[in-house]
Amino acid sequence: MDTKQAIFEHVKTALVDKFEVPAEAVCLEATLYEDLDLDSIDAVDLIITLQDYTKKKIQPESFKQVRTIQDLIEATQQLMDNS
Amino acid sequence: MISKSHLNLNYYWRIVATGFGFALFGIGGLFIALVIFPFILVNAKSKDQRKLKAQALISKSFRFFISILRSLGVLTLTTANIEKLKSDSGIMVIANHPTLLDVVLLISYLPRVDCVVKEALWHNPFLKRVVQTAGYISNSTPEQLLDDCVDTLKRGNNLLIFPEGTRTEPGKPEVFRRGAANIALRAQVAVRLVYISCQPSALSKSHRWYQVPKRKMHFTIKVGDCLETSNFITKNEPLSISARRLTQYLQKCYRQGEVLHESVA
Repeated sequence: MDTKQAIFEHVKTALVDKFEVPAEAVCLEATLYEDLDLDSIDAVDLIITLQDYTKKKIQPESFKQVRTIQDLIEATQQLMDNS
Repeated sequence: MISKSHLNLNYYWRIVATGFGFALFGIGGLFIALVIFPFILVNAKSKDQRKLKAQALISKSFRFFISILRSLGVLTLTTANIEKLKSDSGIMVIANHPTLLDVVLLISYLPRVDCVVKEALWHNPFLKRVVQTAGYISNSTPEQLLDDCVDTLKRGNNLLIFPEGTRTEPGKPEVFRRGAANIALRAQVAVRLVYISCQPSALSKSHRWYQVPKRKMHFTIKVGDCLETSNFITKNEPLSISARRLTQYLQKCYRQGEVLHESVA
């Protein structure tokens, strides 16, 4: 399983378990705020779970531009590659 | 019998009186901020003392403003269990948000309450000192807002929040956002449910100020349960799930108009 796929699975599990997002709604094109009904507090929680997963400190600014699951995965991947 | 022309006269009178009310709120607010406000703070030594005095002054001013609107015939008002609000401490007060006057009405009965205020007021030269001294919370960023709200509740202050985040669309069911529930759960405080209604609908999101209703506005403020939120926190579920449960519960109470379930504590 490549990194992107692994990140996707991790994000999906978090969304389903912590934020009651229906599993079938989680796809790359889905927007976090509109399609998946997350709010800014959820976004912070989500960043914390990704922080635990990547073992890297995340600057919330680097995730400011994130709109979709795809964006989220790319931002996370970049973070893991950067060191 | 009331004649038609009399009804017309009353209608136009209420447009004028409503306009006067808006002007008075602006000018009176400025007068209080610039003249009375510095005066009452002279003897207040600590930051906490100044906060209490400022909040009490704002509450009294709002009470006076509402009494003027009542005597001008702009609105009538009935309340239920309203005295409960005065004794509350260290709790979150929530309400639905049908009109522009809701915050003024509620604060007029809450001598000691924090509330969330637009960030723009912190840059307003006249009101900056008032919102600062009263210790109100700015809505600058969501993260900061959450922290500030939790912090003030933990220090034993009351906090007024409209969980819808904006005024209710008339005739539509209330849609609660999850911020209020998140704050209450994180601060581990009880939530006081207050229900506001305005009949006929006016001063809502879809009315201009001069669109006064055919009949005089009648406000009802019902003070309901003081809900312990600790029951919503479970060992096995994350806070994000608890906040969803609490939000759903509160939204249901308001949609069904049932803010009072138990004899009020």
